Amino acid sequence: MIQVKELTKRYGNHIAVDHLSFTVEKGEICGLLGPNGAGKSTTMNMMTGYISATDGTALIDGSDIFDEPRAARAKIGYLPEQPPVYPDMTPWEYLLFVAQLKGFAKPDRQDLAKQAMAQTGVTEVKDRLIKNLSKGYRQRVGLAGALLGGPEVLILDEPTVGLDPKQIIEIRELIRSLAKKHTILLSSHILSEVAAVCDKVLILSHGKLVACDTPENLAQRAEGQNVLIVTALGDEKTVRGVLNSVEGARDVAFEPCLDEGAVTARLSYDTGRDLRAQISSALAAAGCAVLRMQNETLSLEDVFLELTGDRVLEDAEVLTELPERESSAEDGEISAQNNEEEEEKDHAGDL
Amino acid sequence: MLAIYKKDLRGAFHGMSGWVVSAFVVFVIGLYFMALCLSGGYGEFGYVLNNSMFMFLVVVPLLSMRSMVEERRQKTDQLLLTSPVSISGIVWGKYLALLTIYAIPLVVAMVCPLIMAAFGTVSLLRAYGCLLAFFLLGAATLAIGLFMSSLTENQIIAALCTFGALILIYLMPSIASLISSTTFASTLAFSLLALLVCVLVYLMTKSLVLSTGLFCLAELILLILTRFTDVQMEGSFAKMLNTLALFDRFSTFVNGVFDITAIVYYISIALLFVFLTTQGIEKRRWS
Repeated sequence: MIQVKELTKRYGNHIAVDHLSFTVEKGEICGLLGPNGAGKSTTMNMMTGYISATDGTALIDGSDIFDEPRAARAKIGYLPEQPPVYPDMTPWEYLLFVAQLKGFAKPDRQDLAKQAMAQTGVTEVKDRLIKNLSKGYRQRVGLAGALLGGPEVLILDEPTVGLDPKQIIEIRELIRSLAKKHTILLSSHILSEVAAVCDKVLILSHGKLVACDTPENLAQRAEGQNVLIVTALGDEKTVRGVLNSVEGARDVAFEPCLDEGAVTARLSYDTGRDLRAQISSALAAAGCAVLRMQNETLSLEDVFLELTGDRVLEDAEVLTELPERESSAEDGEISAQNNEEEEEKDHAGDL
Repeated sequence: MLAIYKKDLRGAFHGMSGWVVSAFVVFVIGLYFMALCLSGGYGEFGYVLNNSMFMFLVVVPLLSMRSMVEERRQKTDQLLLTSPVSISGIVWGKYLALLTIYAIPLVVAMVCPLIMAAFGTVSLLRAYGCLLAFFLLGAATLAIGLFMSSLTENQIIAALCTFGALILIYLMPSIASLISSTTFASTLAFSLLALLVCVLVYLMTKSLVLSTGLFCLAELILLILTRFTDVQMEGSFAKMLNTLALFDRFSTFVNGVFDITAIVYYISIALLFVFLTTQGIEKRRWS
């Protein structure tokens, strides 16, 4: 349904999107994932024909976005990062305008607008000016505009930014229900979101595609290496000797330790085995009492960080240090988004 | 196109701008109509329009500054440019909306000659000919304003650029009369103009070879014209400025001549700038 071929965007010497190719099948929900400045919005802007590509092209249901722009655009519903709504209109007027812009005949417009409002839950605010609506409602009005008339392909750029947790769940439900009739490409820098709704995840880093797989497969990739953190009394040399002697333990490394006279070691082992009993008895036999032992399973987050080239040990704090290559207008929003990200993570547990 | 036209028109009369502009145009024309025709006793409506021409300097920047800038500022250009409407459709929709807002007070002004006709013999044909020329003059200046609005991302800058361009055109005959009409002065003026154009070309293309090459070519042509042919260079620069002046051409209509070349000139300017606006937006997509 969506075919992206060697899409490239160059700004002077800076390459925002670098020979990106992927396909999305009909009825699939595909998530475009990447840190800020990875080129997600640029890719989407090119796919919808808002900006041109330096090289390459995108086919929407067989229509080339650059060669047959009108045919291709008619099949796309696009929700950009900032919802393209007119503050001086009411949602009702706005949706009628969008319906006319998309070329629907006058008798159908009202029905289409009503349908889009019902789908996104903006019916109760339909006669208020958009400038008086909250960010969440504006986002929904934008979404209503994008899916008005039922375009075959929906391209949504960070559709849940600025929404409260309840609205996020609603929008996710909506996206999932839409997938029956539409093909959806959505972008996000929030992992849990992509994991929750998408059939396929594309991970972008510095304009390049670094992974393309289902969320389950990506998670499995990480499960190949479980990590155990052990704090035991004793010196590094002894503990290292003991740990190395345990069969199956790999990559023993030491971390700073707060307890006096103790050391903290970090080691990896294969999935499907549990080394905890073996290690504790081996350490005890060597006279090193085990103070603490913690199993750490790598999550999708770690895969993400590893793939985007910013692998750091702890996951939660790291999100505040995501790379900011492009000094774009997004910069000001980074801290705010990070907070949301944290909320997102807490929230992901509920889903 | 129709969707954008309707949206812009509704937007203008939803807010203040449409009403304020219409009221201002009606007020200025009404004021001169009262002073010249009703009190002064002139039977020629063209004089009223000729006197109220200065209002373009105020009305056109105010009317056109929001047109493109606002879409970009609100990011709604993303909606328009990704919808199944062509860029020229968008630009024409916006331009026709501007024209309509400007035409509404002129429709009101159409009553004025009829009022005069009630009290004596007035050439209605001449009056309405003038009004048509006045409308087309406005159409040309609005196209310039629309183009300026598509260049920047700030309303104030768009308005100032339009104002600057219009005042330059407005004062063009006066500027022309300042330039000495000797052959040397004309040649110098043409050279300076060529230099200015080439600097602009350099700024746009960043190609030193192209811009210096163009400048050398222009100078060579000038040299050949002045030295080896008997082309009359004396006063030619002033003549060129006078030919390009938009506003001065209106006086022929006031004098009772329906000047077809001026009509064609106004329409050409309007079409040229609408075309340039389309190209400007297209270029922005490719940069």
